[in-house]
Amino acid sequence: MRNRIFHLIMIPLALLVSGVKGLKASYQQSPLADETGAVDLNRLMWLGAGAGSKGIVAGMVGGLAPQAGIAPDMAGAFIGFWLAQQGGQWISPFGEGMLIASIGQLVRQPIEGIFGQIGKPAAATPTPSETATKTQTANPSNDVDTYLAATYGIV
Amino acid sequence: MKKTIDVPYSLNESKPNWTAHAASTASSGDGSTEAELGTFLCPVGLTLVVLPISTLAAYLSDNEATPAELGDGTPIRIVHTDSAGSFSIDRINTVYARLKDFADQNKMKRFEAKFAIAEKEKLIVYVTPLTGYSLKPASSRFEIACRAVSKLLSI
Repeated sequence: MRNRIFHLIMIPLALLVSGVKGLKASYQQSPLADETGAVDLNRLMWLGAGAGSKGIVAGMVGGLAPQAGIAPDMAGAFIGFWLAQQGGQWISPFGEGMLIASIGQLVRQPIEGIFGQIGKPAAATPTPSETATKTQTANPSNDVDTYLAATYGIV
Repeated sequence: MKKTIDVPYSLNESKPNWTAHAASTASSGDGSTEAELGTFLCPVGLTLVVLPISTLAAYLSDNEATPAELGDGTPIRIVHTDSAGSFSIDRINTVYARLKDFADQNKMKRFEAKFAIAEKEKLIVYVTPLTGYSLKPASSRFEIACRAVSKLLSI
């Protein structure tokens, strides 16, 4: 379990780190904000479009090739990464958005699992008396059904 | 919790919950219209268990002026209906020749699947007399060798 969490966190991190180098170049070409601090709405729009398209890409991969064994979000991350490396005014931010959305989706479940355990009380173990009461109050008509299932396999 | 009793049971025309149907008119058979031999209504508290080793035998008599046995090719159908009478399943669909032997275990007809006839469920036997023949349930005989499951009386 610990190994799985480690891999789930480290793989997206490695992707992010390796992607940053490529992204940095494309960001220098078209930064989100210029020297004056004004937000580049065009770039922001393409980032959002890429993030939204991640669902389409992941859905296409999950639907078209479910037997390939590729997690749709991983496919989205790779495609996004590849697009981000292509450069250009809109392809690059489009790919970045897709990559960010995919990585976000990938890390959501393990993080949710880790934080979901915090503050949750341990499952209460039923006392023997409670268990005994439940067994004794079986419905009489169910007894025959149970017998038929156990003896003849008739359900 | 009451114990369950499971004993061999012979379902035949002499059982109290068997209702023989009225005889069909002499020479009324057309080879396609079904005549009802009778109905077994499973009483409350009893469950019949029919297994693939359960045998079925019948003697079918016609209702002509000179009563005689029905022809070998006469179709027979045994229908199992639920307690509401809404759903039914054909449990046997064969011809009379397959059911004529009451004694030889190697020749006797057997059921193809296991099933339980629970309380208030019905087993209805239909016969399709050939053209020019009829059916007289009062003179006919049948036997299904199965098992009866019910609750033991508490002491």
